[in-house]
Amino acid sequence: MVYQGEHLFVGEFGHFCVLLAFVASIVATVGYYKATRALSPEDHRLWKRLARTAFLIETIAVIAIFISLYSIIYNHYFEYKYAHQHSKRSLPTKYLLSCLWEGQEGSFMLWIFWHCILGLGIMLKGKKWEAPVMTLISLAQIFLVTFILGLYFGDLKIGSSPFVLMRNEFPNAPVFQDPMYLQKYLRDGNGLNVLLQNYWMVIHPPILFLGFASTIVPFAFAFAGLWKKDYKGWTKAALPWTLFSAALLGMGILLGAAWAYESLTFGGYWAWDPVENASFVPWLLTVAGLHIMLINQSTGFSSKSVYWFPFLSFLLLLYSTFLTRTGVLGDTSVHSFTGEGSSLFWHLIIMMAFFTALFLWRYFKNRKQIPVIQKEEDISSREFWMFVGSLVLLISAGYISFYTSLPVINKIFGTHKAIGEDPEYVYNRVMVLIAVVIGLLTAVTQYLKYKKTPRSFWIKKIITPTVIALVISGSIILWGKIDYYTYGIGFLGAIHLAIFSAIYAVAANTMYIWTGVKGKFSQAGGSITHLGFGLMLVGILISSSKKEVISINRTGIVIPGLKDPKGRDDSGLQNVTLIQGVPTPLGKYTATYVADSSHPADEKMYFKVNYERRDESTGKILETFNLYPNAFLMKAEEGRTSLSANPDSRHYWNKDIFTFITSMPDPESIKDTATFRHHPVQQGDTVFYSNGYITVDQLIEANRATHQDLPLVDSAWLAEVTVHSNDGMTYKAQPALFSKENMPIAKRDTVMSQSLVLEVNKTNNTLVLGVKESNAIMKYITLKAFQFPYINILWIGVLIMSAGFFISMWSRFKRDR
Amino acid sequence: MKKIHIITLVVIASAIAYMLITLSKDLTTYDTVASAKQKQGKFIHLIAKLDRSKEIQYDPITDPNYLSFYAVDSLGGQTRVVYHNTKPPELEMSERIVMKGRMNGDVFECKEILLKCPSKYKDDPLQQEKALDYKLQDQ
Repeated sequence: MVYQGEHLFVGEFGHFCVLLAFVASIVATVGYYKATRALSPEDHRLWKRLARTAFLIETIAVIAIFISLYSIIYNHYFEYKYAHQHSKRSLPTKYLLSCLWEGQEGSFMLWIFWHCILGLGIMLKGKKWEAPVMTLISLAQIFLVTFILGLYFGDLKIGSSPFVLMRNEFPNAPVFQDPMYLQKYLRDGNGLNVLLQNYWMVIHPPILFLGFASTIVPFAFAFAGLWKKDYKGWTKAALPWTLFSAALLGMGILLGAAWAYESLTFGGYWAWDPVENASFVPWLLTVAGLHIMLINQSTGFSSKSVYWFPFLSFLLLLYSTFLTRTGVLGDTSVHSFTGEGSSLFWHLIIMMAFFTALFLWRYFKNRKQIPVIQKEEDISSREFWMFVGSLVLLISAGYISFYTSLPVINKIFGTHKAIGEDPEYVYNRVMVLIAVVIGLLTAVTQYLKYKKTPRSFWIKKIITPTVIALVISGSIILWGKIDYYTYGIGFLGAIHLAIFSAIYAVAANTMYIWTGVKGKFSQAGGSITHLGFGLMLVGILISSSKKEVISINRTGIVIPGLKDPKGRDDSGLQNVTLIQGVPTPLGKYTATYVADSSHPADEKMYFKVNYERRDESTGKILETFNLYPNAFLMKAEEGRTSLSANPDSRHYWNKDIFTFITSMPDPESIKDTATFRHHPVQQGDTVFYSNGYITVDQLIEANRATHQDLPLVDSAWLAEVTVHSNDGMTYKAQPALFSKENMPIAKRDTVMSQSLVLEVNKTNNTLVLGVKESNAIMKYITLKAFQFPYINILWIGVLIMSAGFFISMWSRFKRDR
Repeated sequence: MKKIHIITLVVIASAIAYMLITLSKDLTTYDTVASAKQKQGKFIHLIAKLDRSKEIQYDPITDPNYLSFYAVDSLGGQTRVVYHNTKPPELEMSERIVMKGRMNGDVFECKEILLKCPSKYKDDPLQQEKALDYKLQDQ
């Protein structure tokens, strides 16, 4: 059969580039291996030249793969599965990039691409380390390219190609019996997951994957150090790369947090979800490894553990991919990556096993030769406390990994365990203690010297920041109104302790920029990073413990049986229904659902919610603003519509008001079943309805004979009525009846907040008022609103921390030159 | 042994001890309706399906924080579920529901719902094949 209108060349070209990249990565690995082992400089040079050429070819091939796939998506070639599954015509161009990395193949491509770029960086800067380090990176590259290879060996499928055609993937589907299937059936794709249609999602995955990809560099350096038996020199070369890795991984994770905060509706930026944990653990280990490398470089201590940390962060990174991409998490994660094939499952296990075996073999082969200092670390030395800090980070990584791995443990041992009632508290109660220790160490350790610190010297320097921190955190205890009693006084105490040590870290590191490194900017990288980290902790602690649901339903109903984690009765009602046009109290505010709007080209529906704050005694309006939370209305099966909401926030310098839609009436499902009840009326009459009464103020009858200027119609009957509801509100309405050429035309009027539809009718020469009480006319939304205080401290901390990492990295690269 | 090694061992040992002590309290189990009814008042995870033959009760105008429906598990066990929150929009479309909460008499008081929906499985080959068939019927 000859199919019409397909564009096969671009896919074949793309697939060719995948194969080329695969072969080139093998050549590069062999070339760099031989170059590392070469005995003569001439051999080394020749092999290295071959390897570099191969690696460059690979890089070009990878870029070509990206261009091919992007052009498939951009031109809407829906014969390709990737375009069909991940994009659609109506998608704005800015989100077409997100389509690239929505799929599993696309995210592996990102990873491969960043490995190439990092590889080029090492070619430029690696000097004598280039050959061994690049051997390992090229080796990892072979594994990664196989993920998008899509080759069959008999029944065994290796990787999955982003360039497969729909008709080859589903050969039995009847649509492909038609040579015109593209024009007839596959005219549009399935589109991008609505949660990913967000600007953070254009930038978060590339940065996060650069962070992911960069974890191999410290590991490769550690391995190269063992391989070349240069146990001292490698840390110096690896440090800037490790700093880079920590910066990018941290930024990637926190961009994800920012995305969650802005577009997800769990009401926060972090939820200890397995997917978040899985990328957080390698970051913790990278940061711990960074400090161990510093110890080793400055003092020669920790000469063995310095190999384990980079290895563990690389291994745990692969493990995080394993957790999130193979579907093992199953029922435990809200993230919806699902069973993308059991082949990936074994593929990743083989990759983890291979690199673990390689490292262990190399480490235990050379272990005896690693120089060890027999003397003990002095308890007053910087390295002693840096090691303790790294150890605490390692412990926290282990704790998080254990609970995140429960589904894996269940799979191995056939158990059915899950984290209980309050998963966030399981993490928080430990992490708050970790924060106390890490904050304290971050504050005091910089003031210690390597080897040994004279006591008087240290006390003299540390006294000022200690006093400052005590004063600030003391005033927070007294006036900060942090009264988070949900988990009792113990946890609240731990929070206050953590706030103290976070502020201590900020104060001590700010001081150190002047007293320690004398304001020399290029050397202040470490202090700036620590200062940013301290601010992050302060922001996290304060915003979380002072987070407040302001959409508490004030009906005063306590649900029997619903308890908070401490066993007290929990009102737990965090959603408020806003009926259009009816002001509803929401914390200190009065919120009104004013209007909604949608546009045919935009799948989103926007809701305008007005917030108003009045002075309680005078009733003067103090503040008024509108928020526009929106929701995607997705057509689903059986004509139903489903809703995916995006929040909107009002940002203040010291807090955010955060609002999102949790429910709205399904526009398809509204059926008006109520009927009119008719009451014969005269002027001055009263008609009752379920929630009050209606007075007929005036009845006007007009026709051509009495009113010559009556336009358009022959005669008219108008009723002016006032609706008095039981809650004391009154509403005016004017239903009317017109007659034109003996045809009646009813002009109904509605009182939205009372769900009333009114009409005028005429039976047997008497006027009747029709009253209908209908739910269908009522437009309402249910929403949840939070107040996040001091969330900006967190974001500012992130920026400062990243800047600090880059300053350190830059100054170390410069020193290395 | 060096001081730093002792510290390492003590820290790791206390971390493990802490986890062992808290583990039994923190962990819960996945249950069926039948085994859940045996564990009255205990926090568990229940895996079931929406019973489509029975009514879903949710009226946000009277109470946006009250949802009630019936769930049935793979062994045929049935229970009414009460969830004091808004109705997840994809509830009717869900294929499987993971509910976290407590059994209270014959009613499962649910604190958290995770839905597994076909729309989330758009990368699943079976769903894709189905979707292709729909396209044919739409013509």
